Amino acid sequence: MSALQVSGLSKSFRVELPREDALSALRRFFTGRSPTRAFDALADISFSAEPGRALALCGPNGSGKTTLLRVLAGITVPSAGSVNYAGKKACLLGFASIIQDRLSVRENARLCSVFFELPGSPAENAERVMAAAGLDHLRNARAGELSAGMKLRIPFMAALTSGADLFLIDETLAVGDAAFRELCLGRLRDLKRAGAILIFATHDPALAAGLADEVLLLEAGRAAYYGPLSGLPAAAKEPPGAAFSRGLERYAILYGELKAAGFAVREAAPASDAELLLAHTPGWLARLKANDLSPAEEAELALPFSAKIIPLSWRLAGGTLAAARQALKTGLGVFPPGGGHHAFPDRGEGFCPVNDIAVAARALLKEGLVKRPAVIDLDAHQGNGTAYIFSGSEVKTFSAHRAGGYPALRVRSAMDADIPDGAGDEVYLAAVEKGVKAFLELAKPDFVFALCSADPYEGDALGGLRVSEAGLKRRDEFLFGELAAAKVPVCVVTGGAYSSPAQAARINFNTIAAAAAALPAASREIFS
Amino acid sequence: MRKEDLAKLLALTRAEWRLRQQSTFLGFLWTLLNPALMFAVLYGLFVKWLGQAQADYASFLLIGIVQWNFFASATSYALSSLLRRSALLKNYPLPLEVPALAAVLSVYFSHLLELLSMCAILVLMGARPTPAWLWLLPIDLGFLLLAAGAGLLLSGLFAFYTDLERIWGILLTAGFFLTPVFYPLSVLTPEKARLLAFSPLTSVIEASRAALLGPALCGGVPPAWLWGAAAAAAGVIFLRLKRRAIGDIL
Repeated sequence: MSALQVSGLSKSFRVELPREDALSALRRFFTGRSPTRAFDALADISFSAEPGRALALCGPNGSGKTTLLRVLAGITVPSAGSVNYAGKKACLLGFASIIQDRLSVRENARLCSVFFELPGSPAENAERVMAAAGLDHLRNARAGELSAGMKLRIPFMAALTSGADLFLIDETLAVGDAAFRELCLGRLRDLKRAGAILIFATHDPALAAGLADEVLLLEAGRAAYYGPLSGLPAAAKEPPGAAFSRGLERYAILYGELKAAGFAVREAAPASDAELLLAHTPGWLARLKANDLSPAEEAELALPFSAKIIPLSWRLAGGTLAAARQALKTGLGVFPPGGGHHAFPDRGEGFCPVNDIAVAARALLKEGLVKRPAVIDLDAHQGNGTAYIFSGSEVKTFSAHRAGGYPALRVRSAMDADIPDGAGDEVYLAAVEKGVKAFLELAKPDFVFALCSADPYEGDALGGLRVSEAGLKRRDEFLFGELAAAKVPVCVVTGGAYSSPAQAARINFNTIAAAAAALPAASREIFS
Repeated sequence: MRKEDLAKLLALTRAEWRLRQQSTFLGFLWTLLNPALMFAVLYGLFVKWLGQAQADYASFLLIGIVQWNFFASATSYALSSLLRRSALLKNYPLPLEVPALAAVLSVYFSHLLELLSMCAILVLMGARPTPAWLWLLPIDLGFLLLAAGAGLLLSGLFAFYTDLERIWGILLTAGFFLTPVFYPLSVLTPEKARLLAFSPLTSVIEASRAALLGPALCGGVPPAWLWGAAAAAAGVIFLRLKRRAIGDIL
């Protein structure tokens, strides 16, 4: 068995940018393509793995884990660098792509046994794969009739029985139920003991600790850490979704502080299916309702406990819609949990199953209550889902975010401010103030959705902008002062916050207090 | 292509064929219905005029339609094959040629069944099977090579030019009228007939008719293979040269 040697790997892509100026529209009409920009998915990655060793690839979504696995698999050609490995590889990447829903389980098992190059007759291999996957009794059922977890067992078992020496696995170790997962992990440990090399991407530090000998932490395509798991930075050791859970804990504190300050807190009604369909596809809504997300989709959402979170989607959209309606009546509406700005019409990303702002904006437009709504997104992460949904529409979007942060692949807003990593108060506030003024001049909105997140804060685990609490207070006072001066009603949501719950609650309280101070005639009722 | 890649090609061809057959209620019968309807319409419209210029016009027309139908279906299906299978190409190490060739081969398998049905119909219409019918095998293999080459080229180009699907539809319509599918070359002026004879499709269709209806000529085999080899080489070279760019686009 040979070792895997990777040196100086880099990969650049051209990614398309949506633009709405006349020249770009013409170019798109004639060529079918938008303007592009270079995107470095991987930069100068080097590591090695001896037989019988396992390497965990960690890092946030979009950090380059999948691209690295594809380059190692020989699927993607690197722009620079080399991969030296002489043995047989098994790629457990996007499982769903090989499964044909309209073919039987047996046909799919046969297809998988050929694709994973199992030695021997495909028909006999198919029988072995079905038996190993525990799907023998469903051999004639169409694969489309199986649950996502059961479907994925077929390629997974085909890969594990392929006799490969190098396994490349992309966040799919959470296949099926707990018993099947344990079975797969046991098989992988056996393969490792027998000398196989395992390279797997994961968001789960417990899994990395249980299986890997070393960790490669990727951030924006670069190796941020390579070595034993014990040396991994603390934030990267958190279980997936831990930051999101911490963010949720702040609401109880926040509502307590708001009540003490004289605000009334009222629970909003959930949105209806018809309202959610204003921004989302029926297919995505049906899958949310059935909670039928694949492991890859859960990883994309960064919510491994999606079963608990997804039912809240209707409440999320309903809260922002209720706050928007109140803002129309009194000038200000507040729904702190709102701000699902990474959700696209047909999928969720980065803690956001639905885009509540898009739902509310579309609902107000449909009812003729607003004509030129705008979104001012001051979260530390770019509002890619909102920008996508409103690209080229009457709803203008502005996003002021960390230049090098999540998401790696962005959708251009009507106006974007890329703020340098670790900007600090002065640089951050200068960029926000300049951007907001220019945006209000451009959009001339008659209604604003303001996403005033606490994650640019210096103590935030995921923000990376290093703004002080006082700096964020100045940001909010400036924004609501501008909107009050222009007499534009505003619906305030506070989105993500990944510092301590008490700290995040204090920053959110400051935001709401700043809005109420700028709009003294507005209602002091807050939606929860 | 490695032995393992060849096995993947055959497995994907099998899956593609089954998917094509199961995607409609009557499965394979639909694939026969398409040329049968086309035959009925063209025969009804042109038998009075072209029946005088061409003896045994029904057999003549049937062969033309079955052969044309294979080329049109195979190239149209192959054209979108890389994009259709992009998820597979992004997650499994697979040569770009495999999805395109699997698309062509899955259509070719249906075509072989059509050829068998066609031969049975020709016998019912009074034709006598002769050893010359066996010339159809090398002719058809050359034809397969031609369709595969065109399919490879189109699938690669389609990754860059999304309008190609519509353009190819228009070109196929023009090609149908510029190929002697339903008319004999003898109804054209000699200059025009000579011009159309340059088309590889003309040589394949005329050679197929010669093999099945006589006079038996093996002269149609070399052009079919030459055109086929040239198209296949062009397709493979194009996909190899553009492998990285296509991979990035997918």
